[in-house]
Amino acid sequence: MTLEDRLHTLRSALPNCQVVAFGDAQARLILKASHASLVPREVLDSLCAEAAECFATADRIGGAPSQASEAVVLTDEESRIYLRAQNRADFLCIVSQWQSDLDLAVTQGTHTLQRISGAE
Amino acid sequence: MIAPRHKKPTKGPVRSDTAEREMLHQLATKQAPTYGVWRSVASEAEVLSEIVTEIGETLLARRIRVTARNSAAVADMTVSNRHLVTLEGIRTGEPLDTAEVVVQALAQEFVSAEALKFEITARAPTLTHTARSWSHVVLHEAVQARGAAQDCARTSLIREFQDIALSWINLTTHEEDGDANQLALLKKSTVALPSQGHGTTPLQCNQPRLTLIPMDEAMLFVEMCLDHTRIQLTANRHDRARLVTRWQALSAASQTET
Repeated sequence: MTLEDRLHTLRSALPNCQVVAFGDAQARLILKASHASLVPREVLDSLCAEAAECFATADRIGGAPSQASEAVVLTDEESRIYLRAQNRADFLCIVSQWQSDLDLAVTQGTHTLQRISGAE
Repeated sequence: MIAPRHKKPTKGPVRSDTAEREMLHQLATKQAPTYGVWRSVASEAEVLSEIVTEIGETLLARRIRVTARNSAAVADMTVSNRHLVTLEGIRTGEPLDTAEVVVQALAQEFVSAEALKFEITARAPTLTHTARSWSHVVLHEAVQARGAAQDCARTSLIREFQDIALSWINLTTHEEDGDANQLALLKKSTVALPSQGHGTTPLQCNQPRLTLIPMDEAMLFVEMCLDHTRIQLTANRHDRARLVTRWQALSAASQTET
């Protein structure tokens, strides 16, 4: 299964999921993304920047690199979940509507990230 | 021998200075927004304030179109004698019976507006024969009441989060409470590590946002940005669901209002 297939499968499995993206927080780059409607490059870039900021905050508090492997950002419109494998810069991002099931997204996303990391 | 040149009387330069001064003064003076020009708005309160102010400044009967730069939102207002007579082109769930409903409809239409443009589309519009219109004063009061209700809900949420927290620090008011070690940890969150270089900045706080980062099996780092208030706190990890539920309740209320 390709990276693209895995991202698409995860997005399809999560209700109200709008974007699933895989990127590198250090390089500030989204490598691949699956989304239903067109998502401008700037939005993907901003997701990458936010992931980097969240994990940097975790490292500032917990010591770099911290044990923190997830960050959840909620706004009044959407939820954004960032997952990373420990000691790695690559991360998975899941954007859903604000009322989505966060636990389900974290569980499924972690599973997908493990598969992606294992496949590399 | 060439005679030394005498300086001319300083009349000329003075006139030039005066003209320049007047030009600089004009540049520095805030001009009243004109029609057909985008006016930046940063919040719902500013959107509503711009629209109601426009109504308040319109004495003669005019039909005014309001558009948003970054969305398809459009509203056609017929305004006369500082009263909104009709409001068309916007989606409303209920009849525009009260000023509160009008304000809610405008807020809903221009919810994501970053800039508004006002254009006069008719200088002598036909005024409908109706007994109902909304003065700019009544609309302004409705805007204020709406803002106060939102402030109340947000203040309540901030208090609830502080009650759930093990330790918290308000980066806006510089108040803090809780365990000294945990407060020290929170203060670390805004100090950049040398290894993070220049590209990583502390989380920005210009939109309502709740960030939750589990630090270990027991502790959760939380940052809440709400209404220009930025609070960081530590909480028990098992309290995450409570925090999320309360935030989502506010989001639900916000969606209902708009």
